[in-house]
Amino acid sequence: MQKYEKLEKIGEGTYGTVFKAKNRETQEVVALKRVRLDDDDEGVPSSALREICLLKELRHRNIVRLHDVLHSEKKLTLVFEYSDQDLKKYFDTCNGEIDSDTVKSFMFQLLQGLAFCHRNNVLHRDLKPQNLLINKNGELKLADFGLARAFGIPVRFYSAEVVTLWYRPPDVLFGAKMYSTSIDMWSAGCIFAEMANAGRPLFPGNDVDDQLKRIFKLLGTPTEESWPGLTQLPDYKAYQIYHVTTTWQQVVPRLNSKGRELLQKLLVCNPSERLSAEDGLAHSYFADLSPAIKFPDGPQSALVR
Amino acid sequence: MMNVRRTKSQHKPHEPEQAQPNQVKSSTQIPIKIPTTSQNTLKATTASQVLVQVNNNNNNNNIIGKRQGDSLQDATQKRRAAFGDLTNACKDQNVVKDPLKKGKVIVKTGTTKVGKKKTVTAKSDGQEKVDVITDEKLTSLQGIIECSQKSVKSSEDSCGSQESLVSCSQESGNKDVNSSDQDQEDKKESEQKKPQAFDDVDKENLGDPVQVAVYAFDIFQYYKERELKFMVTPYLSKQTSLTSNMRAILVDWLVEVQENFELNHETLYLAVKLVDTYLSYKKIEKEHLQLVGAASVFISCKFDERCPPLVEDFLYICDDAYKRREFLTMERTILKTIGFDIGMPLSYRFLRRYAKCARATIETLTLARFVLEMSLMEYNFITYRDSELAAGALMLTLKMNDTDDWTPTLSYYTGYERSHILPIAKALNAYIALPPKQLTTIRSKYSHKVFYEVAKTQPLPDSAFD
Repeated sequence: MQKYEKLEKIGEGTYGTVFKAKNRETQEVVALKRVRLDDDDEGVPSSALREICLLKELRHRNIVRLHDVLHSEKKLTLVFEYSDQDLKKYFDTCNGEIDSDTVKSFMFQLLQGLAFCHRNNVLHRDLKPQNLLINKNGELKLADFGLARAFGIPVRFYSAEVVTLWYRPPDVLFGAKMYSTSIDMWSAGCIFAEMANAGRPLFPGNDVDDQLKRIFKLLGTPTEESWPGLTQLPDYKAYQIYHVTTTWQQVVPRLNSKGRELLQKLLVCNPSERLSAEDGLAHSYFADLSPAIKFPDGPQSALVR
Repeated sequence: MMNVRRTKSQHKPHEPEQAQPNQVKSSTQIPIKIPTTSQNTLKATTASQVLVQVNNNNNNNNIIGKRQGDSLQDATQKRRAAFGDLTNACKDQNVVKDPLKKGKVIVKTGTTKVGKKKTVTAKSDGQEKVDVITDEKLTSLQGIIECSQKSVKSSEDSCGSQESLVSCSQESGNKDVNSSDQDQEDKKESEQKKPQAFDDVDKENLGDPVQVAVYAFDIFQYYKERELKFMVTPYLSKQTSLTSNMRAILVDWLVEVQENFELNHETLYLAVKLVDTYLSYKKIEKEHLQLVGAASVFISCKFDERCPPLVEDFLYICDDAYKRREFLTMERTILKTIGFDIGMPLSYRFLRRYAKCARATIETLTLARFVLEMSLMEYNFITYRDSELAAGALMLTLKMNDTDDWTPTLSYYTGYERSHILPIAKALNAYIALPPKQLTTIRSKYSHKVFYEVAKTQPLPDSAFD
């Protein structure tokens, strides 16, 4: 570990401790994620294994960069690019006010990162403000791929125990095990609303039941008609029929009408009708986004995968 | 511990696949659970014959199994210790073998002594040697690998033009929001190149999230570029301790592991790929081939399975020939050697995609899966791209069914012309016509009704490929 000088502990990831550190040679500041390997355990944790191999594959400006993996007998150390803060901490520093251009820029970058994951057949499965890193240049990066996985086509059954409750889509809350890219799109919608409200979570449920009620109170309770297959989901149970009483303007007062339209298309209970990241990026809400954000490396950048 | 193990490996929830038969559950589990059935006895005999033969071929050294010489009594006791209630019944059997544990073929007392002695040597050797690869040899091997990687690179270049036909097609109208003019032009060009009779199989699935139709085309394009990064360099000339037959035995065993742990097929294919990749980098002794194989399945389970089997389960199927520590060290060694790069495009995935593009029936897909799975056993196929093998298996199957074997739609989606795939289909046909006699796991698996008994399909005469 001589290559890096540990500076301070930043936090705990899905697995292992995260430190801020400095490369002794280049002075570059990095984040080190340390994974203990115990002979009593099951070897390399699958979350670490997936995070490493998926991040090695995914190289994009809106996805945290894994520089290196250091091995030793007793531990693995993942060397990541360092970001100053995550979106949650960013919310704390902005005193209930985020200007609309920043919201638009962050949302665009979030969708860029997600579209890249999905095109490269990776589901993140744990999108939330804590897992979106923000650096000094206002760049947003998807991080913590500990729950991510590669998906096949057609998709198989995957674990339903994914995504932090507040950002978990209704199909997965009902125990759906066959999901695909739409799982991340719901979370993206929740994060979008949270950004627009300067850090107030949209659906801060206490448990699965409460979570679903909060969702249905806002969107109306789905039916077999609006969502074919709903009643066949593993943990489906009937909920009180809520009718939509709140307008989107009340939900996200600071978001303009185009933004509200985009949000509405993301927060659709039926996963097959939820907007994809690609289509989200094409939405007119982003029409007036500064070219510097749209094409950070110049017009050619859109070609780079 | 025992209970945990049983829960994990025997009652593990299976992840069924869409629109295709689940694995043969009952029948494949029978051998491990009730080893007294006649089928199993038969199987055990076959397996032991295989190993005995290998044994003879290799100066009496057992490759897969290290415990070949264990006496019957030892074996039953041991198994009872692990799966007590299940194996009591077979106490008095003469030939008892858990088919998974090829290592533990129980041979009659005559050979026991020799075997046992050897086992001991192998074992003490093994523990020290597990990660020892002489530096000299490694360097030279890597030199070869570097050279061959260069050639892969150049083939990557040439492949660019070959694939330009399908390089930029788009499926959803809004996709090119960020595209530059250049990109747009490319797209126009590729649109023009789409065959007239082209069948847009993704369009109808846009509403079905399971098919991920929006991304399907892009993802398979991406796989096709990416598979070039994972081309395996032929390694047997450097692996002085290994033969292609040993590799075939290992694959046969891995298929048994896949069936018994009820693993996804992707896991099996990835494991084989990991073994080949690892062996192309590191020279190993034959005593460690099974260890490399088991650790590779372990890794691929962690990558793809919802509930991977436990270390204990793997040590058990290797008949405790390896220590926990050895096994975990091998896991790390493999990961380190291949740089954690395990998101490898797999022929199995290509096949399912191509079969869908051909609108193949489930029977056709199953037959193609049988052909493709058989191909895993043949060392000479490792230098083909995964997409090529998948296309070859599908073409062969379509031919066997006497249907139009390569439509413009298939050329479009695979990026391969008929003439390119034909020799591969021919080679696959030749292989399934003359498979390794004693390695029957895949053939018995696909002889089951659940798999439409596709293994019984007759191979084609060579003239079919003229």
